[in-house]
Amino acid sequence: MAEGLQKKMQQEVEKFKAVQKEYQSVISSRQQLDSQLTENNGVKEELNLLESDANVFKLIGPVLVKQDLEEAHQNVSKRIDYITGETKRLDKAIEDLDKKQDVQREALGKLQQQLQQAQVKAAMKA
Amino acid sequence: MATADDVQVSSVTSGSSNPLVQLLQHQTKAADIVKEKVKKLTKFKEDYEALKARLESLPDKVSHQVMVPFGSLAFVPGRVKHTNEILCLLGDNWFVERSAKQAAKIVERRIQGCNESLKRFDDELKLVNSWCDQANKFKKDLNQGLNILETEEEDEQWREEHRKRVREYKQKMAALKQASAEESHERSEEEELFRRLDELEMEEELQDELAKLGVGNGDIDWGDELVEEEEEEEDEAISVEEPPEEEEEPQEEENKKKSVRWSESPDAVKQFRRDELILPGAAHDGHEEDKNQDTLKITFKHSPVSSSSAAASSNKRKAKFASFIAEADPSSSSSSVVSSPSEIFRKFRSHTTEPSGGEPSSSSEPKSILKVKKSTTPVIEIVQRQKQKQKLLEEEGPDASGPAADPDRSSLLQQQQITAVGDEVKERGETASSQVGAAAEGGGDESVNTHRPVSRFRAARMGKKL
Repeated sequence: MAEGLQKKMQQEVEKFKAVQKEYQSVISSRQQLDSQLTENNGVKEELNLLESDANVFKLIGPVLVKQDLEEAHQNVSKRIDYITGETKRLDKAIEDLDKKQDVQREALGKLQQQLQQAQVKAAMKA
Repeated sequence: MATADDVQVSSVTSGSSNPLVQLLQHQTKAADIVKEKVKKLTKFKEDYEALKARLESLPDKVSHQVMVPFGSLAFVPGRVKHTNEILCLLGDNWFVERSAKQAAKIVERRIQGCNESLKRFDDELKLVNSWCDQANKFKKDLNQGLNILETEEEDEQWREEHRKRVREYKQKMAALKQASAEESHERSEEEELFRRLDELEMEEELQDELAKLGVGNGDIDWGDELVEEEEEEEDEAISVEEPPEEEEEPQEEENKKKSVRWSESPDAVKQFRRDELILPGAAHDGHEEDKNQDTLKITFKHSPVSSSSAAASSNKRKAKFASFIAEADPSSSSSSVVSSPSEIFRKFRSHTTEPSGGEPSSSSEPKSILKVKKSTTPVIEIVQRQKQKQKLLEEEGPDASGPAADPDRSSLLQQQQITAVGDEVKERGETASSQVGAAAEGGGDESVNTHRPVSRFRAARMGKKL
């Protein structure tokens, strides 16, 4: 009985760890997106301050490509929208993962209790 | 450094302070993080400042002679040519070609951004530091012993003040109690008086009611019967009487129709009643019952349907009477022979219920209160004859012969039996009461089941006379 319980415990622990990892990855990507958002906002502000005849370049790989200011504007705006959408999605994912984690934690706690009781019984018998 | 302190503290203090230690650790970690951020930002700011200076000095010359880094380990003498064309990274792989001045402006803006971040970090650091300070305070208290306890001096001071306050409070309470006690004393006397007055009122009312009842009683019998008892109780009554009562009673008795004197029977009866009021423990209950019976005999009262023999006897006669009517006309809607009040009622009821299609229920008909009906038919003669015969029978003794000895009675009985059967459809109550009446009578004369029912009053009277 105790061995079965222990196995169960291990499984549950692994599950919990997996969920935790997922959670952390989602959190980190969320942070990244957040920084990109601030960056793009800064770019937008600067582009707004530029004169119309300024040369704008985009670094695509090893190549600096000349861009139109208007086009640059639009690109940046689109990027910002995309980033905000992504952040929202990630927020939802974070909530779900959080709930999953809680569930897992509860299950783990129960199993732990059972294990302890089993151990106590074993100690009593022995 | 913070962690080392914490470790020392944890070794010194008990296990209960471990959470406090943990808290401190967390707080210090947070503080460190913020401090590092601040460091970074200050560095950025310095770099930007330097950049700005460079940008301002760059367009001074058309080309600068510099040592250009070549790889990671070498420098090469070279020239910076387009001194006013600066590609600025705006972020997210976006570049813009700017002049030196414009670039300097961009840099300025960046520096401002840095300053704002630094401000935020400073505030955060302050908050975290305050947490740390509070936690440290707690730690100190634990180490030195809780300072929540008062010092001994303070404790003594407080105790003295407390004693004083308690003394004052007790004095106040004592004063209040005295005042309230005086008031209650006066009040209690008043209450006693009121109670006495209420009692006297009650007695007056009772006597009024008794006087009314006494007026209805024209019989001399109970007066004669009770004279002896009353004379005995007169003494008691007088002894128990109190002065205010004496004043009240004669006045009130004069008001009543009946003449009331202290020595004569009705007055004595009243006294008797009063005695009962005053001395509830006295053994007058038996007399009271007799009196009640005698008085109730005259008063108007509906007897219960199935339990009273008086009603049963009257019902039996009624049943017999009804049989005559029934034979003549069962529905009795158009018969002109109205010989009893119940007859009227029955006619009226049948009159009203038949059109509506209702069924004449025996339970709705009230029972006659009179033993003897005012009817002119020969039923009454028979009834009276039966009464006399019954009296004779009872006076003779319980060994009276059965129905065979008395042909008249037997015939009547048969008729009764017939009537019982005949009336079953019509009036259930009557038959039931007649049956019960027979049963009640059986209590007085059990050996002969077919005796006519006798009212319990009659029976009681018989018993008394005997």
